[in-house]
Amino acid sequence: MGNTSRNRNRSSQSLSERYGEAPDKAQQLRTTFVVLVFLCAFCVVSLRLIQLHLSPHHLLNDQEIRHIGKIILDQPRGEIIDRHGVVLATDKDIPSLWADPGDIDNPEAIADILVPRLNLSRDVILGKLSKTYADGREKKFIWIERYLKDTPPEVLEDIETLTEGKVVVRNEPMRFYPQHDTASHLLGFVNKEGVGSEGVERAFNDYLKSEPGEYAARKDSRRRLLESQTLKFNAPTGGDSIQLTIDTQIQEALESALDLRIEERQAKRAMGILMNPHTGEIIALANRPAYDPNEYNAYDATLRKNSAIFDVFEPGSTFKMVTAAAALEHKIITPETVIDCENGYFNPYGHTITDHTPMAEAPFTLCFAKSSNIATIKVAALLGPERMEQWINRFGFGQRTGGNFSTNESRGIFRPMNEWSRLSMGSLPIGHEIAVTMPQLVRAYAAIANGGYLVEPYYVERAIARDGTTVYQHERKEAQRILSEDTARTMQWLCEQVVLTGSGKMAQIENYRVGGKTGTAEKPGKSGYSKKLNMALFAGFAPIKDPQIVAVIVVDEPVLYPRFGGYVCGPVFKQVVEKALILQQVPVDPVPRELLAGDGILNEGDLLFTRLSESESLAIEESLDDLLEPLDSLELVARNGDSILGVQGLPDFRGMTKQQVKKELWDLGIPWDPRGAGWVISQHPLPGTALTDVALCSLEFGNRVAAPHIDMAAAEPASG
Amino acid sequence: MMAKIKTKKPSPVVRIVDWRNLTRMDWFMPIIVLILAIIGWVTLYSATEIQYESYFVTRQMAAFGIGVLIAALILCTDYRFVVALAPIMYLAILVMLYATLSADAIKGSSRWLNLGPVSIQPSELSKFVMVYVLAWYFNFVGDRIKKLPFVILTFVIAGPPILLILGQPDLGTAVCLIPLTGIMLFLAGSRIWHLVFLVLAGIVVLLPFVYFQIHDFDPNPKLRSTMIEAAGPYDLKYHQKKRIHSFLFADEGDNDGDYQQIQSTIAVGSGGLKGKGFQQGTQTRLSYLPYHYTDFIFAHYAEERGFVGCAILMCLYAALLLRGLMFARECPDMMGTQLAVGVIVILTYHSVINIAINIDLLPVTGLPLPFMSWGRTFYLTTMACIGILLSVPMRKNAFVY
Repeated sequence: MGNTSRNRNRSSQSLSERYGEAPDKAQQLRTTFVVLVFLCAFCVVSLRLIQLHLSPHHLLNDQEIRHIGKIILDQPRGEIIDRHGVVLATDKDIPSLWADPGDIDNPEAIADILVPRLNLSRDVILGKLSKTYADGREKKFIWIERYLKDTPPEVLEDIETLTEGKVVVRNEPMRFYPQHDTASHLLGFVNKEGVGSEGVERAFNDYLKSEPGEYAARKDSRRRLLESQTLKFNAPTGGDSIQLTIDTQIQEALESALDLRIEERQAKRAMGILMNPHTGEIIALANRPAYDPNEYNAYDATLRKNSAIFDVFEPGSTFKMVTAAAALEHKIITPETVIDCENGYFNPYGHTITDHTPMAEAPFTLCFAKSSNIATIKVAALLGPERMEQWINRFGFGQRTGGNFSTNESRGIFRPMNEWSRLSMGSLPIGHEIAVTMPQLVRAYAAIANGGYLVEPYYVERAIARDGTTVYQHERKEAQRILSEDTARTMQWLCEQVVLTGSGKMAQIENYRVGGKTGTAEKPGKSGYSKKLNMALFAGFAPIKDPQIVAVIVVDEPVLYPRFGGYVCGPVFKQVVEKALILQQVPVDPVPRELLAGDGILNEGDLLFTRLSESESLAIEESLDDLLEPLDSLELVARNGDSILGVQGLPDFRGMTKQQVKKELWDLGIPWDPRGAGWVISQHPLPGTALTDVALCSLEFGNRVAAPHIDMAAAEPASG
Repeated sequence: MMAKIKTKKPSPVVRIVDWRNLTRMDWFMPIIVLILAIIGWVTLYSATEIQYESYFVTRQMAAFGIGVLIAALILCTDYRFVVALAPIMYLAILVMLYATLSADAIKGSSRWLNLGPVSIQPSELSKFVMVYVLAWYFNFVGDRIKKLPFVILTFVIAGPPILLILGQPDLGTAVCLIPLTGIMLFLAGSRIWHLVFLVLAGIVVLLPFVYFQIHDFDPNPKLRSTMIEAAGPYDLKYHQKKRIHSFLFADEGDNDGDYQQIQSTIAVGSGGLKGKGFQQGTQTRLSYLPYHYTDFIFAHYAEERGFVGCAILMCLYAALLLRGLMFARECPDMMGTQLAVGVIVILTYHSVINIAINIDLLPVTGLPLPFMSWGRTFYLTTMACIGILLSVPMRKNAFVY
C-alpha cells in the first residue's frame, strides 16, 4: 500500500516536472515514429493481400483442382441368360495378390512365404519384388499373381497375415461361365482387356460392356468425397443382360448326346442345332468337342470356333428335300409318281451315280425314303437347271440367314448357274457341289415344318438394361412364303416316310411322329471325293401334326461303320428332340395305327428289284405324258420302243457292261435275261433284229479284255 | 487503498474507480470495436456453424460481454493505481508461467493452466501484464533509462517471462514481448544508439542460433523420432525448424511444414475481389484449411469476403490502431503513453503478424487475430487492452491532483 502511494507520488511528480500540462514534443515524435512503423507493416500486409486477391497465381487454381476427387463407378459386365433366365455368363470376383515393392524390406522372406503357396518360381517372385523397374523408376504397385481362382481363401488369408499385410488380396471381377462348356461357342468369351471375343460376347459387346460412370466431387482434407459438393455425376451405362433363346437343359442334352455319339462312333466332331420352326428361335446349338470359356486360353483356337456358323459342309442327301419340294411345287411329280431307279446304277452326265438301296421302279415316296440319288437327279433334270438354281436360292442357301448372332456368319458355297459344270445337275440335286451351314439347313427344313415359310434363325432374344427395361428386342422378320401349304404338307409326309420306312428309322420317337431326311456326305479329299472320310447328317422335325422342333444333327468323320447319316445321327436326334418335346410339353402325336400296321407302309422288301405291273406302269405313263414334254435328256419311266425314233433294230450289246445293256434295254422296253458277269460276249437275238420281233433279249456276260465300244458320251443323249 | 475508499476524502484525484469516466469515454473506438466484434462473430459463425452450430459464437459473444465489463472496469479505474500493482502482477505471472511449464512437463506442450473451474492461458495474460510492468518500470526509472544499465535491466525484467513462455513453447507470444519491450523502451526515451546496439546484438545472437538450428535440418527425416524430440531444452522443436526451413527455402513437395500456409494462401487467393459469399468458402467447408476458426480465421474470412472484405477489415484495424496512437500521442502522461503504445503493440502485433502468417509472409506460429479468432482468454485480453486504451485519455482532462 505504502509502496503504491509512493509510486504514484513519484510518477505524478516526475510527470509534472517533465511535461507539465501539454504532451512532450519528443515523446510525440517517438510515438509518431511508432505509428509510421505500424503503418508500414499494414502496408506490406495490404500489398500482399492485393497480390493474392487480385492477381491469383495459377498455382492456386491447380491446388483447387487437386481438391476435386473422382470415383470411377464400375459396373459389372452384363449377364447372359438363357430363355428361362438361367445364367450362362456373369462376372465373379476373383482374388488377386498385389504388393508395393517399395514397402517390402525383405523380399527373400516374402518369397519364402509365397513360393510354396502359389506354385510360382522363386525367381519370378523376386523379380517382381525388385524395387525398381529396368529404367530405374521406382515400383509402387505390382501384381504378384492375378486371378487366383484355384487358391483356397485360407491360403490367401495366410499370405496376408504372414507377410504382415505387405502382400494384399484384392478382388477383381472376372468373367465366369457357370455352365462351363455349355453353349460356349454361342457365348464366346471375354479377353483379358475385358472385350468380348467371339459369340454373343463379341456380337453384343456394346450392350454387355459397362461404360464406367464417373462421380466427381470436392474432397475434404481427409480425402472423403462430399456429396453436397458434387460437381459431376455420370451414371455407369451399359452392362445390359442378354437373353438368349437357348434352353440350357436342351442344350446340355444335345451336347451330352453329341459327346456320347462322338465317342461311340469315334468321330472327329459333331454339331447339332434345334430350332423352333415357326419363330426361328434357336433352342440349342452345339459344336462338340467344345471348350470352357473360363479357361479359353487352354484350348486351341480351332476348338473355339463356332463351326456351326462359320464352317460349311456338303449337305448330301439332306439336300434332296430341295429338289423334291421344288418338283412338288411345280407339280412335276407327285409322291406317287413312279420313277425308274435304274437298279442302282445310272450315268446321265458322265459320272456314275449309284444308290445305296438299288431299286428298279419305285414311287417317288419310296425313292425319297430310300434316298435314291438316281430318282432325285431325274427329278432335278425335269426341273431344269434354271429352276434348280432358283429353288436353291429360294431356300436361302448361299445367303446368310441374317440372324443376329454374328455379322460374319458364313454364306455357304453355292455357285451361280453360269459357273456350273457338266456334272452339276448330277451333283447339286443330291447335295454335292454345294456347301451349307447349320442355320441354312435347319431353316430349309423349318420351311417344310412350318408350312412353307422361310424364317430367320436367331438366338439372341433381347437385351435387358439394369433397370429392367428391354433395350433391344429381336424383331422377327415377316417370314417369306417359299412353299405352298400343300407342298409343305406333302414334304412332311415324305419326310415322315423316311423315318418310318426309309433310312431314318433310327430317329423314330415314341409317341411323336417324326419327319426327317438322312444324309451321308463324302468329304472332299485331296482329289475329289474321298471315300474314306464322310459326314453323317440327319435333319428332321417333330411332331408332324404341328412341328415344334426342327433339328439338324451332323457327325463329322465317324470312323466306325456303318457311317450312314440315319444310323449315326438318328439316335442323337431321337434322344434330344424327344427330350425337347417333353420339356416343352408338346402334346403327343403318336404314329397312326394304320401306318404302323403296314397298310400304307412301303416295305422295302416288296419293292426292291421288282417292277410295277404292266397296267400300273401304263397308268403312270399316261399320267406323265404331259410332264415328259420338257424332258430332252431323261426319261422317268421306260417308254415303248416305237417311241424312240431312229433306232434300227436291236443294238449290238457286245462289249457293254451290264449297266449299259440294262439301260439300253430299258429304254427299248425289252425284257432281258442276263447270265454271267462282266461284259456282254454274246447276245440273242443278234444285233439288227427288228425290235417288234424281240420278246426277250438273252445276254451272256463274261470277262473280256477288250474295251467296251460304247463310251460314256454315248450314254448321254443330251450331248448330241 | 481500502482505507482510502472508506474514508471517502473529497478529493477527486485519489478516486481509484470513477464510474463517471464512462460518460466521458471516447465513442469512436468502441464503435470500431463493436463493428470488429460483429464481423468476428459472423465470421466465426460461418466457420463453425456446420460442424458445431452456434457453440463457439455464443461463447465468444459471452466473452465479449464479460470483456465489455472488464473494459469498463479498467476504463473507470485509474490506470496509475493498476500500474502501481505491476510488481505483484509480475510475480504472479511468473509463478503462473512456471506452474504451467512444470505442470505440463508431464504431458508435453500445453499453454493452459487449470485453476479449478476455469482454465486460463498465462501466456495470454502475460502480454498485458508486461505492458503494466514495463510502464511501471519506465516510470520508476524515469530519466535514468538513458543509462545503459537501466536499459539492460529492462531486459532482465522482460527476460524471465519470455524464457518461460518460450519453454512452453509459445513462440508467438514470446516473440510478441520482444517488440513490446523494444518499443516501450524507445518511447521511454532511451538513447537511440543503445537501441541500435541492442538490435544489432540481438541479430548477432539470434542469427547464429537460427543458423545452427537450421543448417543441418533435414525436412524429411528417416527416423520419425527426430521429428518429435528436440536435442536440448531450448533447441527449436522439429515443427518450428520445419516451419522456418520451409519458409526460407520453400520446400518442394512438402505437405507438412507449410501445408497450413499453402491452404490458407489458396483460401485467400481464391476469394478474389468479392469473395465466395457467406459459408461458401470451400477451403473451410472441406476442412482443407486447418485452424479455420482460430489462427487461420483470416484466410477463411478472406475466402468468403474477398479483397473488399479484407480491405474493410484492414481499415478497421488501422483505425483502431491510429485512434489508440492518437490517445498515446495526446496523452501528457508518460505512463499513459507507455500503456497505450504497449497495448497497441500487442494488438497490432497480433493482427499484422497473424494476417502475415495467413498470407504466407511469415512462418507459422500460433497467434490469434483480435476480435476474430476463437479463444476466450485472448478475447478477454483484447477487451482488457481496449479498456486500457480507453482509460488513457481519461487522465488527459483530469490531470489535477
